[in-house]
Amino acid sequence: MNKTLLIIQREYITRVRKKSFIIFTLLGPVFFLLISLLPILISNANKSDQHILVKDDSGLIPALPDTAGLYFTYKYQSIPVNTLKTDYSTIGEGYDAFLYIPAMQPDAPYGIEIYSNEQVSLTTKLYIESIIADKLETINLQQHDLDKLKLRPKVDIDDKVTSGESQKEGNAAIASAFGFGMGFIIYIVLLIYGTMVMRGVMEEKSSRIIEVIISSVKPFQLMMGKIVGIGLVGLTQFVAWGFLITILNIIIGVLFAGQLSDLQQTSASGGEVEMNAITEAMQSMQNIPIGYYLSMFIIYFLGGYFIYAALFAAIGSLAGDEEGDVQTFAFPVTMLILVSIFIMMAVVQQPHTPLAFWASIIPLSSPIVMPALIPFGVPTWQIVLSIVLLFGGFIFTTFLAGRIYRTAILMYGKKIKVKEVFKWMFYK
Amino acid sequence: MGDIMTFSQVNKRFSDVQALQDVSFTIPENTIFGLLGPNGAGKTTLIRIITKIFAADSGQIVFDGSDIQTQQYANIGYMPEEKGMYKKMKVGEHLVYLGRLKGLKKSEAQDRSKYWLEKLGAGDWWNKKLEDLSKGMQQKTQFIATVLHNPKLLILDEPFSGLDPVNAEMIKNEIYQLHQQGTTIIFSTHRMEQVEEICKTIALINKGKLILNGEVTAIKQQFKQHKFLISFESLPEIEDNDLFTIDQINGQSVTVQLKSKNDQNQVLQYFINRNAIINAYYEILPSLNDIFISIVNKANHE
Repeated sequence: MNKTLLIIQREYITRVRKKSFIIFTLLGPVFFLLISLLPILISNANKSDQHILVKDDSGLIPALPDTAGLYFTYKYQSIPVNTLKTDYSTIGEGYDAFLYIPAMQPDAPYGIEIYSNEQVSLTTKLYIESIIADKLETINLQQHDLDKLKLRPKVDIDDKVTSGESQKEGNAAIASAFGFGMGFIIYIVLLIYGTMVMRGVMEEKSSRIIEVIISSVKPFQLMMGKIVGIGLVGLTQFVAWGFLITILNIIIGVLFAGQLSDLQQTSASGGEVEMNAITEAMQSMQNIPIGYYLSMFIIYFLGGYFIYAALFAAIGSLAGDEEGDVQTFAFPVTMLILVSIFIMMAVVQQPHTPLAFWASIIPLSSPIVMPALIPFGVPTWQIVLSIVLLFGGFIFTTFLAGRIYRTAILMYGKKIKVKEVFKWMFYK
Repeated sequence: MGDIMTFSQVNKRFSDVQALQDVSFTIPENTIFGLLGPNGAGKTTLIRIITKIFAADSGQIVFDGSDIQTQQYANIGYMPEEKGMYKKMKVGEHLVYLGRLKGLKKSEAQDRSKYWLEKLGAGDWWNKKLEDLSKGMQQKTQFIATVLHNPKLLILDEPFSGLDPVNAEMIKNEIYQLHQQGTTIIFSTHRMEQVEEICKTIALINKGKLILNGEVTAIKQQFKQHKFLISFESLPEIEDNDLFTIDQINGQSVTVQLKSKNDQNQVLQYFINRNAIINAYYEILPSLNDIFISIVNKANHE
């Protein structure tokens, strides 16, 4: 058996069978679920009053009842729709959003739109949808040919965000949240598994097993074996989480299926709105090219991991017997990751700046920034360039790390100076 | 008897230190070879070059007819002074892993690990974690890991440190057995009495240079100071004279240093003439320890 494979195997197996790994893998999805519910809970708790201007061209919805924090106004019905679409926030006392109901049949409520500066919360949207659906249902019930008609039509409001001059589809918000999530997961991966590589190297150095091992294999084989082995541990964890989350979803679906349909029957109760919010979010997710995002995620996950794992391996090899030494060297690399996540946060707000461009190209930040940027639409050439550089960066850092590693791993006692490290990188 | 290993003009420099300078010597076949030197002399550097951990800047080391750099890792077994291990692993899997890294098949590594553990009276350690073993037990495991793959060249750096006398004897016997089977053994230690006991040939390195090399018996002859011990029935009156000076008196015995080297019979005659009853009379050869200290001190003062 190939020796590198043997090392990968050991690195993998000793970690995967640890209790801490098993517990973290099992509890991860529960934690995940709580985290994903948090924004919904917070957005409900933290609702400020919203005034919505309504124009009803269908004549079917003469009034929308106000509810906690939501106030509907039927005014300015004579002003053309296109003017209201852009000027709703300045007309009269100013409104937070503009709801437009075009002329339509009660059984085919298409083309309803809501305009707002900031994304209308899903609960608000679902509340309006359910009220309109209720009204239409009542109208439909009064018609004669009951069997021909859908009693309760599906109402789907198209939400448009009007920030400044540009209008963007509300779905983009969910997409960018998705991108943010991907960038964030990669950030976590780099930190957790990068430092795991570093600790592994330090352990081998300080326990002096290193001398036995590298009288059997080349230092580079040991370093790569460790990096790949721990990378596989990370992948295993993610696959396990994906699997567990899917199962958890199915279980929740089966357990609460009854209650869900009950809730659908009752009128707009808070419970229904929240459950709808989740299904709605899931529907929006279906519009996202998951396969494309996922493949991008895996490319940047691997590329980023290999680059930073190599750096962390080199740092681990520089560690002296005292714990503190390693911090000096680890600090710049940790900073690089932190800076990347800050850039990513800024870039999600403004995706079309030079900062966004460069950060998505440079291999040290691209693993975090690019996945977050992709949902906003990135030209193909930019993605290709970024991936090529990512791959080049991987080769380069691994090469440099290998050079530092093979020398530093055997240095004990004396403190290693930065100047020396540079010398090892580029000579011989 | 030929040489199994030849070092010629080996040089190694680390940025500001010349760790090895033109080191040349040979290791004869079928010996246990002692590699000696004070701390920081370059021993570890030399060992790391032999074990292919790094390469020499210049010079060549030939083992069994081919350059050490082209040797398989499987030919070499190395037990470093600092005995590292993966503490969380179990004895069995640790041995099998290290054996497989040296190129053994899994089943082979398992069989041999079991055989050796059994041989060293540790048959029931297989599932014990290394961190739960005593230092001596860990060291036995280390020894097994070093010899598991039947290396042709075995390098042992302080193999007895931390072992109790019983276990040290056990390991020593294993070393002798491997030696009998034709394994070349390089033994590095600071314990000169162990070297005298075990090694037939030695090399002494100081400050990166070879300062002494040869058979232990020859070296002792080379450094002898013509001292003789005479043990009397009862100590006569003696004083320094033309023949000898008194080195020390201990009970009924006296150690004398001859003034010219072939006068031992005259010395004996001298005491017989004085009607002293002599129980024993023999030459005192310097210990390797004395030689080591005097030669290193001398070198350091130059």
